[in-house]
Amino acid sequence: MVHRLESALQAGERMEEMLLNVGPQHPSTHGVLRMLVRARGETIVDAEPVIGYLHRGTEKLAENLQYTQIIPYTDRLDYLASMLNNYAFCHTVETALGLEVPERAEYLRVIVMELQRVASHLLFVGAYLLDLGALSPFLYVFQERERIVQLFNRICGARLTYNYMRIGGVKADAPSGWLEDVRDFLPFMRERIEMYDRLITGNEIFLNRVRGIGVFDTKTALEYGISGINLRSTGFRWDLRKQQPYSLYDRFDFQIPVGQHGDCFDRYYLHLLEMRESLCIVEQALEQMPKDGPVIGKVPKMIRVPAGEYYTSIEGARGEIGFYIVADGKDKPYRMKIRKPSFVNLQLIPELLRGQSLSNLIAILGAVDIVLGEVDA
Amino acid sequence: MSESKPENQLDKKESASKSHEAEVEANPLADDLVGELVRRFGESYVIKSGMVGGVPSIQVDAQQFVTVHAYLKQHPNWQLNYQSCYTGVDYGEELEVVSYVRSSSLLHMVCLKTRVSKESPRLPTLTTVHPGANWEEREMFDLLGIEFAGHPDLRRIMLWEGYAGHPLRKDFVEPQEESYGPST
Amino acid sequence: MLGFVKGLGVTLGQLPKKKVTLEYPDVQPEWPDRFRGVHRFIPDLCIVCNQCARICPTDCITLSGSRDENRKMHIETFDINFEICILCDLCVEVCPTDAILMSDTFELAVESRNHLKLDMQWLVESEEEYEEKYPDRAPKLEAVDVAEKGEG
Repeated sequence: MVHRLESALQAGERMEEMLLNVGPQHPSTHGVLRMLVRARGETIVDAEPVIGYLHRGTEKLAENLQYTQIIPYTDRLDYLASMLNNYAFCHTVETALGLEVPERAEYLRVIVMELQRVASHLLFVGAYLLDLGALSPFLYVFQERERIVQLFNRICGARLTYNYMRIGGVKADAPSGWLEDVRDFLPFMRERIEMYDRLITGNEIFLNRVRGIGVFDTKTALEYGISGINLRSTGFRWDLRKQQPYSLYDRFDFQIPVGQHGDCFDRYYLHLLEMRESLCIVEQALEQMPKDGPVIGKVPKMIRVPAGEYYTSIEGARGEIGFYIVADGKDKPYRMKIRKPSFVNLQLIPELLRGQSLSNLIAILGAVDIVLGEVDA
Repeated sequence: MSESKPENQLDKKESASKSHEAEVEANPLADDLVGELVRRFGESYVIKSGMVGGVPSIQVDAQQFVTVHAYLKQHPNWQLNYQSCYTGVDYGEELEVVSYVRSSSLLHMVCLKTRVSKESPRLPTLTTVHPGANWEEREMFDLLGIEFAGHPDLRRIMLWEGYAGHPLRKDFVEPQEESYGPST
Repeated sequence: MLGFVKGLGVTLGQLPKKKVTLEYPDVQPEWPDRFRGVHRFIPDLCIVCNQCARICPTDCITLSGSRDENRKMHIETFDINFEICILCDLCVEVCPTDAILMSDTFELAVESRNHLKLDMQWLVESEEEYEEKYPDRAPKLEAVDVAEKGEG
């Protein structure tokens, strides 16, 4: 190898372009994403994400599963925000059936969904800072995340793949003392968010790495179908919880923070701001929640969705999660399509990387916040 | 449990859409949409219309699919500039392409559909109107075998090159265990 | 520079705090009673209704039983293939007599794939272990009556 390069050097050859392979086994690609990067010197000329390493064919599998059986599979799409996936699927089936969900169940769902959003955003903050070379925040975030995960563990018995929601309600009511513990968690979490603000937001090294990097505007974002924080970072106020209220979100008072520049810093900071809003929602939900009542509606034992096509979407942690179900009146869907926010958002990466320095590759990729389980489905 | 028969499915869908026609009258949005397209392009453009899961839906010819998207994207009354869901469904002899587009300013959502035959599943690409359709089209090409003419980079996306068949088609047969794995 | 110093203050503030990690193999974590670990099984309660096998999304449960002289169903074999079980809890949820439950065993590393095919004996031992560990969480005896009623 050395010999060959040496002779090339003597012959006066110069390598103008370099093809760089990043991943699929790379700690900063958040899973099994592979990136092919063509670079001229330090500048990226072109980049191409290669996906499919985690493809499990969830959509095909769903065609042979009953509606209830699909719920555990949705856990495994965006495995950092399983509760939101659970809800997105149940919501579509409930809309199709015209089912009424008991109020207490719906409040429980909102609480776990917003806690899940906090957990997911926390992990983003930690992992993103780790990508940029700061090790401590990654270790800190697991303290709070652990508390959320423990709460989930107590309510549904699992720490990652919750399988908590059911069509028409939730699996089980909150165990005794659970709601109080959620209430106790809120001030602790608020304090910790302040701490992250102090620790990270003002740090000059961090700011130099993320300010003005990976910028795109609202028009590009809408054309590419970008959703979630990536869209809001461009200054466009778009959150399905407000724009197309589902569940009980019209009963809560919360803000939709938006960015100004559409750069990586905005995307990072929006995560912090959204966590605060989520905690606000949880607090209101705890107050409004009925003291008792059923947690699952009147659901037939065998769920058969009437023939037709249904598409509903919700605001997930990473954007618009939607389920499109074609039903033929049987107990299994005829076709199920998942609108995966990470999958759609990832398309923008080549656009963002073109012309950037190689050292910004990870900073830009990390800020788009993808989960490969969802990209590949 | 009998296996789902594509032919029955088609019949059922036909009758379902007929029964929805009364609803179309009641829904001004769906009415407007059909009226708008008929005014602009003529009667022959709209093949079928109705409500699909509470969303107004129209089916147009495959060749005009892109034109309709482009027209509704820039039309001031519609501004359907954001594609939410874009996918395909196998209905036996035909493959249906479904596109849910919504307006980021007017907040409404419309379902646009088209059908192509299974023998030659070909239609023009939508990437010229919605660049974000790129990967969804690659996924459809990969898993359903629909070809998009003019697509900038039509390759398999989830499965590897040389994989036989398209798994989301209803007549797909799972290969034997031995034949799994990328060919070297 | 100010932001940098502020951040350093936060880091230094962490120093005197108590450790939050658990020295895992020496100290076992405590699991709530809803925790979904490997299954446990109570054969006396099983009425061989096959609902768990039917609801299983991955088809990992196989069971068989026979009718005795009193026309009562008895379980004979009950196997769970833990290579494909996803611990989703649906089998526990559908069981009309709570014969199949979940324990707090979560350590699933084994030397051979064959060790992941758990049979009834393993699952019953798991139940005994669980009962020993949590005497207060033992199954209620009324459940047996339900089983007899459910059979008719």
